[in-house]
Amino acid sequence: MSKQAAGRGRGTRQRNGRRRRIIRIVAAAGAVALLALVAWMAWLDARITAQFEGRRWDLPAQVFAEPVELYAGLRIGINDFVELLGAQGYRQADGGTPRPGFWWRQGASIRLMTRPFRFADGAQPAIVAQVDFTAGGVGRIRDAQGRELPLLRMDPMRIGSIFPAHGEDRIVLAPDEVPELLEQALIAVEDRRFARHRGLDPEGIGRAFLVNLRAGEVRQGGSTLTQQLVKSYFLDSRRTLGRKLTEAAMAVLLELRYEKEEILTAYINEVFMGQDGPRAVHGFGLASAFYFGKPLAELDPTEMATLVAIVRGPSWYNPWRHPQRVRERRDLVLQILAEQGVLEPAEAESAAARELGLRGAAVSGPGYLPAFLGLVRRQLRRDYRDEDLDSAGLTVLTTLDPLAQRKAQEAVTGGVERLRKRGGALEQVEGAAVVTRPATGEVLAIVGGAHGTFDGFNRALDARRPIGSLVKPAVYLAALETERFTLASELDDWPISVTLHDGSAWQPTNFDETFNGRVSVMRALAESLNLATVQLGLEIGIEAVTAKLARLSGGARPPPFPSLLLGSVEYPPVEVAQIYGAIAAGGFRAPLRSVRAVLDPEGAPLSRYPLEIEPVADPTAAAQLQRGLQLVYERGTASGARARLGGRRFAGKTGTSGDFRDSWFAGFGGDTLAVAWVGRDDNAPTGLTGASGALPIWSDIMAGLGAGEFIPGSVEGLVELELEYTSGLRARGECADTVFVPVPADTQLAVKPGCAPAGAAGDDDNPIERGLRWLRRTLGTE
Amino acid sequence: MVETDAGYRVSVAHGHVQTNRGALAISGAHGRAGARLAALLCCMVLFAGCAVFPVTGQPVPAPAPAPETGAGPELPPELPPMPPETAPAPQPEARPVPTPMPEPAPGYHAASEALVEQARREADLGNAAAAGATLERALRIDGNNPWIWIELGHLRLAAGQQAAAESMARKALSLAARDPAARSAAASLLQQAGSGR
Repeated sequence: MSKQAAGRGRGTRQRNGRRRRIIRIVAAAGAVALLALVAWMAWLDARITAQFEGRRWDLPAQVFAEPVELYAGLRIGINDFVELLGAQGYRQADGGTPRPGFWWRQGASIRLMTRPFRFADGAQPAIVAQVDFTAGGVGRIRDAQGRELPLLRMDPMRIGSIFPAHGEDRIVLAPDEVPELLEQALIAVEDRRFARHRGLDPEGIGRAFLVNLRAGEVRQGGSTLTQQLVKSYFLDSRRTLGRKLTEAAMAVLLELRYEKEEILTAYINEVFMGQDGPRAVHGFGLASAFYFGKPLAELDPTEMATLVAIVRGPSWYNPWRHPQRVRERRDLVLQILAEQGVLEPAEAESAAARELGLRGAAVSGPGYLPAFLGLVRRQLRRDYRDEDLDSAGLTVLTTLDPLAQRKAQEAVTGGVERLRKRGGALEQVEGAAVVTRPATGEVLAIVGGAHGTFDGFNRALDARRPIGSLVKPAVYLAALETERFTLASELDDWPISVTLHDGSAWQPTNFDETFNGRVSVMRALAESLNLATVQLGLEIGIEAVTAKLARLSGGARPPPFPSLLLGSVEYPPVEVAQIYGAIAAGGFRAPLRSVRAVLDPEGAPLSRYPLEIEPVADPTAAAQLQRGLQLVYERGTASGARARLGGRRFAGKTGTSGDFRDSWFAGFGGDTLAVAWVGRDDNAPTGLTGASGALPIWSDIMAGLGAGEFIPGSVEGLVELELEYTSGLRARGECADTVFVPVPADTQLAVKPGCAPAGAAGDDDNPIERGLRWLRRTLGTE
Repeated sequence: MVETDAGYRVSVAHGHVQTNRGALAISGAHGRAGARLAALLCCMVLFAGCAVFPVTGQPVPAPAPAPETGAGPELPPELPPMPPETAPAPQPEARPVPTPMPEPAPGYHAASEALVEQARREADLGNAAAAGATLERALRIDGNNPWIWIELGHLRLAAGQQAAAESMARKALSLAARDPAARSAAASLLQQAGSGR
């Protein structure tokens, strides 16, 4: 017994020993595994935390438009102002307490509350103001206490961001900027138990499985919002088990570390929402701008439901490519929202009856303006590293005028579409435009092509094309500056042959292959006569013209070929805007700027780009040239635009390059300038002249801007005289076709025989002439 | 530094005086011109055949709001007298009328004048960059107002940017054909900018 017992005891001991050894091994292995698990978890935790925190602060530079300034006397009607408010992302208030970014109308007044904003000159709080309108525009502005405000600066519109090279763009929203309905809808549709689970939701997976099984399609996803967030952080589409485990672990860790609200906000800012060429659209803020062309806060329940539908699979649910599919999914979302009590059933039903309401291709909306941002990026790259722009949370304040950008894009898109419909060579025609404020060099709008959101070839910046007759003002300006010529001087419009360096002969012709004999300078410019211009250019010297072009453009001197006089020289539209800007600004070149200032994340200015100007032409000569360019518009090659612009007077010049390859128009009003270009990317002839291709687009831009007409200022040393248009002789309107033009005060001019204006023969004591001079002086036209 | 600072203050103060003088002078002249305008318009009807001047194109001055009460009293009481070389000599007829409140100059926007005032306050506080940005806002509203360019020129001059100040002065000159006070202020700025080099 005892032996047995002892044997048993030994056996037990041995068994126990083995068991202990096994336990020890298992324990050791377990400990190692646990340690590995802990290490793995710690590693995952570090990764996900770094990602979460990194993304939270990894902010691409946010780019803002020019703020709208309202002041008494501003010429804008109440309806246009309402449109402007919409373009600025302001919403109409539906009662309740005033909130920033809302407006409401009271008769001929608009009340609004601006949003607080950190400008380069400091923080501006939210301001409540009432804007009273009269027939002429803004009558007065008062604050909430009834005090009159001299002006009201609104908060600027966010137009996008400088997104990094890997192509992710987003508009980051703060938690309080996220509409409640969106949060509720995401939870109702994607993750019903979001508020209760700890990152994973087995119950949800089971329910989703059943629901999908019953429906025979994927109606519900099993993964939580947290898991989806983790997935989108690492953008790995592999669906392996290891991947799933990692994601699940990370989701749990994320939930341990952060509040639900933080996770939901991160999701809303992070999730992939679509692809726009090279740009990946991330987050609901940008998605709203991308799909609907307006800020998230302005979306109605229908549009919100569409975004919630898209988030399930942005390429499968691409609303442009598969509208029906997206509509069905959207209506399902609305149905779920009604079932969950997020929306009233009636509300959901009426929402489901509506179209998708996507933005049109023409409207690039406040979302994505690659052409303008291209210029911004170019300007910033001189001073900032890419990684700072991508992630340092900088604020970039630009000169963009959202309304001008919209109008310019519409004009180019519409104009190009009209031309393409004519068929033939015009089917592949493209367009570009630049709008500036020439006195200060601010770029208001850039249109890089007929497709506003296409981030490709930016023709406004990069299409270097022969400018044709757009070069002529440089020729005439150089001539006027010699003081040997005035607008009244006579030129020979006769055939000419120029022997080139290689011995060949260059024989330019006029556009209509005729010649006009003796013509006045003003007529030669207004009617864009080639022969007279070549004669003039050769007389003053091609070097003088190239030097003038270099001064006006701020660039290098083009090579001095004789053909330069007729515009063989090449410039992109943006440089043409620079050249014409200097003319429009009376001989002062203000280097074009698209960025006004860059602020750090705390709102402190990092760099500013202040106004610079440089005198590049004699103001007297520039004023005469301006009048000549006005004649182009009044009776020359651009007179076709007058009807479109309601009789308002502008100044500008048409340009057509050889074989009708490029059609140009550059022109200006009182304080805005626009350049329009039309041509083909393959540089094939289009058959368009400057007047038939670019001019209508230019007119649409100026009409859309409501641009003020060009009023020549009085310039010292010039007198206004009545002259015969064709000859430049002094004459009276009753017996000649006359125009009033400024000429240098000491100019001796011949009188048209039998048509002498009163007091022309030096008859200074003539009382009528004296009276007229007094009148002109008083009215400031002399 | 102190010298520059003092020099800067003086130049700003000059700008102040001249601007107000200019505004007064102009408003006086404008008052008469305005009174003449009615008579003139009658003449215009008579001379309809010769009415080729851009009458309709004249910028209509914005309805003048009540003048800012701060405009006058903000001047330091012990203002130095105008130095002779900057006195607007060629305007014998334009005597400041003794109105207590200067009206905004005709054709110049009240809003841009308010911004010029703000820019001066910013410059006085030593924030030249903000003052420059504020003046650019004023130019966006009223780019043909020579006084804003003169103001900007003084700012550049104070920052030691003679060339920029000179350009601003030339720009102001080119816009001041009808504003003798602005013309002489611009000429004075031009001189100061030129002498600094």
